[in-house]
Parts: sequence; structure tokens; C-alpha cells
Amino acid sequence: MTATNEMTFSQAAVETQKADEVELLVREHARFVYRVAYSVLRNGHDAEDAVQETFLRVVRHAAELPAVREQRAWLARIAYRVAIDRRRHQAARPQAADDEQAVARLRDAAPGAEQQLIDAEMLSLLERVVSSLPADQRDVVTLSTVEEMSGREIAEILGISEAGVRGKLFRARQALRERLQGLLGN
Amino acid sequence: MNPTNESELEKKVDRWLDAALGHYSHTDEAEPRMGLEARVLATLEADRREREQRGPLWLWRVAFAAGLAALLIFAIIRAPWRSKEKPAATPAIATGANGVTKGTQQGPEPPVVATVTSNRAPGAGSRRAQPLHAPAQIAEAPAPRLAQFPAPQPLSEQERLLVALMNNTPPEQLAQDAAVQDRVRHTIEEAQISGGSMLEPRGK
Repeated sequence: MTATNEMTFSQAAVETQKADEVELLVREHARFVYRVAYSVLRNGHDAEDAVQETFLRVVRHAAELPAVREQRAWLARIAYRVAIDRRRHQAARPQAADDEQAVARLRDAAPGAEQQLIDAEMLSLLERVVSSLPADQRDVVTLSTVEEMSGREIAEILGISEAGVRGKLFRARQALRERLQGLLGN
Repeated sequence: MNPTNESELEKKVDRWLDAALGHYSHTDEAEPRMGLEARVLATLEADRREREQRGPLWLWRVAFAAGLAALLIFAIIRAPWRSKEKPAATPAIATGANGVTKGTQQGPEPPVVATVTSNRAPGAGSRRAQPLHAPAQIAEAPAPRLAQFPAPQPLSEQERLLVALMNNTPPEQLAQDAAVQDRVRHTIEEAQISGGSMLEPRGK
């Protein structure tokens, strides 16, 4: 067997190994990646596109895989960046009229009927209020709502400390409360 | 709004916020549709096949760069500033500056046409020896090309005399004179052909 053939076979073996690793990543973490993307994009189709793009990026950087210690956090970071890029390209949606309608429907809801309040209107209103937060606070809030996402992972994705995450989350929550009070109180 | 109502509203908002944030990423849409993994793997497989068909990317890049370089070299060799040098070096302008057409250019010489000034040595004919982007300084020629398109000039003394002769002599006389001159010239030519000369002394 010639040296060229040996090299080709070894390259093929490496490629196959990488493909297997990527497939394992997809099977284990695709849903988690989807939730991270969804928390940023708030749209199922966009989130799925972001998942596809995330794993395409993973394939292109497959050489780095052996050096990655925490694959979940690594994937979450890529998915977050992909989602942020996509969000930048999305057109801004008109909000004011929708906000007023949502508030009116919420006021009409019977007091104490929490389950009724937490419906699509409430979530829709919350989405809009969250989207009006400063980018750093907004990302902390959205990532913190993703199931299984710890403060440490959020800190790693955003490149800040855990204390920083807690501080931003606190300020974001205060801002959300004030804006919701303002909307409902008027 | 009184303080009691305000406090109630705050509590209400807090409850809403807690509940809404709890549900924020747990709606139906927040969960992927069935078969997400299969779709992602299919996309990756399609991407892999496409990359295999395209071949190595670096090979395309090298081929593209080589093609671009060849095109650039060809464009430089066939550049328009090289072809502009040729008409400037033709003798037409050079002779125009020297006033070659004696009969038509008797007056003052027109302003000298500025011709191409090139750094090229007279014997240096090879293109490779020259810099590719040597600036060819071409000045616009202000004067017309008199060799090709002579401008009207004042008549010389001889021309004026000839015109006066033509005006003052009847055409029949002119025709007779011309015939006489023609005969004389014919006789002289015949004598030259036969070996003698009418100008030679006869006694020799």
C-alpha cells in the first residue's frame, strides 16, 4: 500500500470519527440548542433554522471538538451567537397598538384567575416588554428562562461572571415590573 | 391611585411576572417539532455532499487567483497607454515641427508641438526592460498637422510673378510659349540620349 493511500484512509477514518462525534452531539443536545435559540428569537421556525446553522458551524469547527471540555456550554454559546445574528436581521415589528390591546384584554380578566392571565396575551406582552430591555439584561432574562440553564452556563455564554448574571437579572426584573406596572396602571 | 390599590397592583404584577417568566420558554412553540435531530442530520449530510462535490475550497481559490493574475498581466500588456505612444512617435508631428513643406509653409513657424517625452533610451527596444507602469507624458498638440492639412500661406515672390504672367498674357500666347518650351525640352532630351550635349562646344 502506498503512502498516499495510507494517508487517504487515515483521513477518511478521522472524518468518520468527526461525523460520529457530531451526530452524537446532535442527538444529545439538539433540543437544548433549540431552546436556547428560541429564547432569543421567540419563533419556532427561526429557532430551528438557528439550530441547523449552529450544527453546520460545529461541523466546520469539528477540529476543535476534542479540546472542548463542556460541550453543552460550547454549543449553547454558538447557538446564542447564531440567534443574536439572526435577531439583528429581523425587521422591527410595530408594538404600540398591540401593547394597548393586550393590556385591555388583561384588565378584563377576572381577578384571581391567574391561569387566565397567563395566556398568550400575557406572554405576548411580556415578550414585547422584555424586548424593550437593554440587550445585556434582555439576554440574561431570556437565557435564564431556558430549562436546565444554570447561572454558571449563562455566565459562560455571555462571557461575564455569575455575580454579573445575578445583578443583571435583578435589574432586568425590576425594569420589567416597572414597565408592566406603568402599562397596567395607566 | 390610593396606596392600597397601588400595593395590590404591585402584587398582581409580581405574580404575573413570576408566572409569565416561568412559562416564557415553556410554551408549545418553545419545544421543537418532532424529528428535529433527523432534520439536522439530513442537513449536515447534504452539506457534506455539497462540499465533496465542490472539491477542496483552497483549490478553487488558487485557480481563481491564478486566473485573475493572468487577466491582470494581459490587461497591463494590452493597456491603452502603451498604444498611445505610437502615434506620438510618427514622423508627421516631428516633420511638422521642422517645417518640411517648403512651398506651403513660408510664414512664421507654428508653435512647436510638444511630443511624447519618454524615459526610454533610443536603443532600448525590449518591453521587459521597461517598468510596467512607466508614466508616458503626453502633451496635447496645439497646432494643426500642417504636413497633412496645409494652411493658406502668403505667396512667394516667384509665385506672385507667375500669377501676374498668367493674368497679363492671352491664353493663345501662353499655349504657344508652352509648345515652344516643350519642343526645346524635347530636343535637349534627345540630344542627351544620343550622347551629345547641346551645351558642349561644337569644335571639341
